[in-house]
Amino acid sequence: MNRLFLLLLIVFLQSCSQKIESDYQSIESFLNKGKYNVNLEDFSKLVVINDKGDCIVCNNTFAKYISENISKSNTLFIISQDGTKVDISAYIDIEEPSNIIFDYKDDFSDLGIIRGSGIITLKDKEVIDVFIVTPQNIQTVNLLER
Amino acid sequence: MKLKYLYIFLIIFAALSCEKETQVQELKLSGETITFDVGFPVRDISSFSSDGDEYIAFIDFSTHRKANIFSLDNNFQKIISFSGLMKDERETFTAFYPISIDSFALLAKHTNRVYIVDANSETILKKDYSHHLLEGIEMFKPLIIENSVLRTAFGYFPANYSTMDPVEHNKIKINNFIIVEDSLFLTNNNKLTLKFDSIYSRFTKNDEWAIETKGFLVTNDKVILYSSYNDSLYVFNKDYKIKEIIKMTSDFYEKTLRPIKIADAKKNVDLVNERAWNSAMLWKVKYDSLRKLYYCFIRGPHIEKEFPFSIIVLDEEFNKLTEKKFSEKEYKPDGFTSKKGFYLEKQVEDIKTRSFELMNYE
Repeated sequence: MNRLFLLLLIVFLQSCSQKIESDYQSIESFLNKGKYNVNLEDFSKLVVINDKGDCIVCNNTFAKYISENISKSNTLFIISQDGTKVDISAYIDIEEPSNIIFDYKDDFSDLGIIRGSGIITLKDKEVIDVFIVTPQNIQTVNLLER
Repeated sequence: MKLKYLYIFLIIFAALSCEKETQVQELKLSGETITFDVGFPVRDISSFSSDGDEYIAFIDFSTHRKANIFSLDNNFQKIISFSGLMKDERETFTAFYPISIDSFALLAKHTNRVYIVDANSETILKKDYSHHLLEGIEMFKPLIIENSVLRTAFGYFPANYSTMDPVEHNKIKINNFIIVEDSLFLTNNNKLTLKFDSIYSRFTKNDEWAIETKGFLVTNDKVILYSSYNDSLYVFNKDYKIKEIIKMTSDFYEKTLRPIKIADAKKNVDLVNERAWNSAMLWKVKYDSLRKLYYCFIRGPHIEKEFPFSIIVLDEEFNKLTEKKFSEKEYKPDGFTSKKGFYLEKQVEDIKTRSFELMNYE
């Protein structure tokens, strides 16, 4: 009986000791795991480009439109597509990009922070906004001014 | 009485021992691999023969907008670039079909135009079926041109269907992926006829979302239709009269993928992908015309984003000859046929290369 009690106590303590990562920490872990040479603290916006969602045209339009902002050093571009479904030509020709990472296996989606292409806004080591591109908002939103 | 039993036993034993030893045939991997240094991630591959030689094309329509052609002895042959044509004609492309080593066909997206280009990517022939858009017919991949006959899939968008009504809107998708055929493709005329005009509704109901992987295979005397929502091959003759329905039974996977109701998909947009990733399905069918064998890929649920699978080998009469299971760690459920046998795709780390291992039923 005592042994059972001890076992339950250990299981209880073990479960209490497991930290639940915040979204920000998940992104940091993703960057560390992928050995990307970037520091998340340098960025206030993350642009995520993938082929998720039900509007591949929107993903393509977004990838093309948002590429005009590649020079913005506070924006990190996470390209989670190999280029066969979404045109990523604007991103692959840049030599030694400091704010573009290629996540061809789309591990970023596994974090569950964003379901589709879009923009994640960061502030004070927190995710404060997640914007997902849809057919309804692709034409109207000035994306990086949000 | 006991002697009688002994006598029967001896007869059976003698009969069995006289039976000729038969060699069991199975799918055997040869260990012979070929790795193509393509140079970019590939959307489609297409193997073909030209003047007796064998080639393979690696295609990307989105980012690199070209096809790199290799001979099967792994010598790079040529690049067919789509960029100029896309810019000049304001087209995007969705399907590629090699006619010979010097001529390739391209199907444009949303405009019903088919282009034949030469080895310099210059247009030789442009067939314009855009007027059929007014009848609600939009051509989709695959694109097949054989004996001057063009075949593509098409979506049918009847003008009288309301796109605001969920059920009627879905009927458009249900009508999707049947065949359109032009028997005068290589002339200045065209004779477009619709085929399979009722078969597809077998697979999904009006209130179910019809977005599964589906395909058709054209052989010398048959057209075979299949769907990942279905466990059978639908075999038609070249007049599109159904000949037989072949139920595919796997020893390794129970095909579990079923259509999803539109109402459920609206509540959870990820449901379609979740089901597709976590279910087994009839994935692809390839035909080896030399050996007259069908290779049917049954894809299993994903394991860490890769898919284990089995290949069922059928003879020309669709009898199951064997089935072999493959690990998702080593192989991918794709490949192509050649004179030497079937090249099964291998897993590689570098997304800019593609690797295949020769396999035969022997």
